[in-house]
Amino acid sequence: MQYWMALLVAPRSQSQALDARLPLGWWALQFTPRVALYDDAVVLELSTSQRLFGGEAALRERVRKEALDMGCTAVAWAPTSTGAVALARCGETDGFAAPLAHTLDRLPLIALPEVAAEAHTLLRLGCKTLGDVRRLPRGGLSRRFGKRLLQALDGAYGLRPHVHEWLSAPEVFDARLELPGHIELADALLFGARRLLLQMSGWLAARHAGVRSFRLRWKYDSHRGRNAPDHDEITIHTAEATRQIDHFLRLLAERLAKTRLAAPVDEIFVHAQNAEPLEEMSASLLQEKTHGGESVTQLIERLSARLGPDKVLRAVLRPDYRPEWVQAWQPATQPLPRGGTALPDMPQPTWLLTQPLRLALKSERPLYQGPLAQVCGPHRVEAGWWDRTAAASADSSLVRRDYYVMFNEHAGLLWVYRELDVGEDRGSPWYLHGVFG
Amino acid sequence: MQATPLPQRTAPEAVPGMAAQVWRGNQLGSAQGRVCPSGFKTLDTELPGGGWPCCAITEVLQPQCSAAEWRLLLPGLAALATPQRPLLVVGAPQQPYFGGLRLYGASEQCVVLVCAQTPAQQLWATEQALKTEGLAAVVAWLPHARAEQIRRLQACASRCLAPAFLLRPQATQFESSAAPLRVQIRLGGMHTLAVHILKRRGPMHEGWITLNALPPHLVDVLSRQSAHAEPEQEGAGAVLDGAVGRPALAVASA
Repeated sequence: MQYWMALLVAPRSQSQALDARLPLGWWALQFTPRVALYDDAVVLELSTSQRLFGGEAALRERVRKEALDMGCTAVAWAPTSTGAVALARCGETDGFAAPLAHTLDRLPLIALPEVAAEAHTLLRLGCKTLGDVRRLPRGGLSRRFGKRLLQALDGAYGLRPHVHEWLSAPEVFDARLELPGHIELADALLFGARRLLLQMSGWLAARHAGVRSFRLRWKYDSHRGRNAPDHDEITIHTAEATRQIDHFLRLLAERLAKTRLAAPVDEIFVHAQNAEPLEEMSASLLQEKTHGGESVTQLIERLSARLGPDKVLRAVLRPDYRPEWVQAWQPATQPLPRGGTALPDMPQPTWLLTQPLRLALKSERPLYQGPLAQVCGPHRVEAGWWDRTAAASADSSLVRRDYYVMFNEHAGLLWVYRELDVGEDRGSPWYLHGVFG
Repeated sequence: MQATPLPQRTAPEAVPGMAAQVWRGNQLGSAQGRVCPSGFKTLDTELPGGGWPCCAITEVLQPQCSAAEWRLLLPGLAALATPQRPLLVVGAPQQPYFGGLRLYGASEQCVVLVCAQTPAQQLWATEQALKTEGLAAVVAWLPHARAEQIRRLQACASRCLAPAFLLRPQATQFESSAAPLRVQIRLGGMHTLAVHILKRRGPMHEGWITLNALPPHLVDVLSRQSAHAEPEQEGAGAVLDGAVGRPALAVASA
């Protein structure tokens, strides 16, 4: 037996450029390939998916709940597509509870548009429900109202098949939402955006794909100030292609928290393209120990979104003898270069001072929280001679130093160097450069 | 095949598994959840469960930040970190230098540094990290965190699978804290670190444990000049001179 669900959408107004049924249909494609647009509803045939998604009842509840979330007005299920739409229109839900004919017989004439068109005449014949119409002789009905009415009735009751044109997911996702009121705070856009992102994740699920970026655009109210722009947009990027709506929402929330709206907003759009195939994770037979936490990539993206990309860093090493040139930092969201770097074979500290600290001297021995005792050294570092131009300036890259490991009981093991080119400077040649912390 | 002797019963068990549930005053408590070894055998024997706890906050107190924390933590943590499971470092007081860190086995791909400036940002970043799966460990310097903020972090950490360390100044040892394990460290000699466990599940810890915690490369260098180096103290629970008979520090249990 076929299992149809009908998702009723509010009839569209003339002003709307995009059909509201389409995003809902794309979203529904994740459950079954047999999705069609019919009248003011989206119908989907689920008989082949009933054993997936956790069983029939779970699937039905999920479709119902998510569809209502996305702004669908009524949901019904029945053995025929037009029957399900008729039930949804009259506020009924379950077409399987009783034989379909019994359920449909009780519905008023407005349930089927073909019947509703002739309602005026039928009412005068004493017909108030579909059952009354069905009891009239078929020959007379056909002669009086034409064959369309009988075809519609037979289609709804499952006496003749209805041919649908199946929907397919497009290359580009575009959806819009007219907001119920004017929104003046950027944070409040998130609620509307969630609905569109839900549709987007359905579109992605139907294509078995994920995206790396999407665009949220909002249109300002027509009564905006003179210097306010017509619309604004933000683009959200992720490191990995994904269709996890929670992750998109979190990133969007961080970005919107920093956004200021120039005027009240009345319409939002979500646009995504370049869907990439996503490797599906198969569900495990054994129950895995997960805590529903996010992954490391997502964490890094969230931290970067809030604190700024230059605050979440990974180090990149370069082969060099001068410690201050060895290490550079790059945003952790960027991919890392491949291959290891060989570093000089000498004691290396775990903390490096960004600016070497000049140490005072006491009887020719450097002081740092007390006199320092030499542990090992010297290790001479002499490099950067090729950089002749900067040699005279203070931040010269020419380095001639003797590195020592020194110790005292308060500061621990320290990495101290002695500048070899003292020049005119009469100060101490000793500098603290790192700590073996 | 040898016949195994019957287990001796000291007292009849009223409820099966009761013995595991009852903690006796002289035993070390067991950790709730996994632990990961600290890399020091002498320290592991004193820690509940035999290592750093994975589902709880560990506070490390020291008199001066950036003096000895990597020497204590990295021998255990470096083996856990991989590029896919990085070590997250929040609010480091100085610039970590991979010339030294990679000698412990923590390469530059395995560490992510979060430079949060304000205490609020540091707390936020730490909390997010604790809610994340798949980190090797979280190491955060939170000198200004208050007791209730640490309690909140501890609540997050109870669902976390990675060990989490808060590095805090020694002055906070008299404040109460929700962290189930609090460790105080100070520099011993040149080769050693002295560790005192301020708070743990189990009996109070007295005295200081001495750990041989010399940075890896220095071990080679110093063994070459071992003639001049002072004789190494074998740290099997050795108590430093001067610390004997010292009154046990108040255990600030929350």
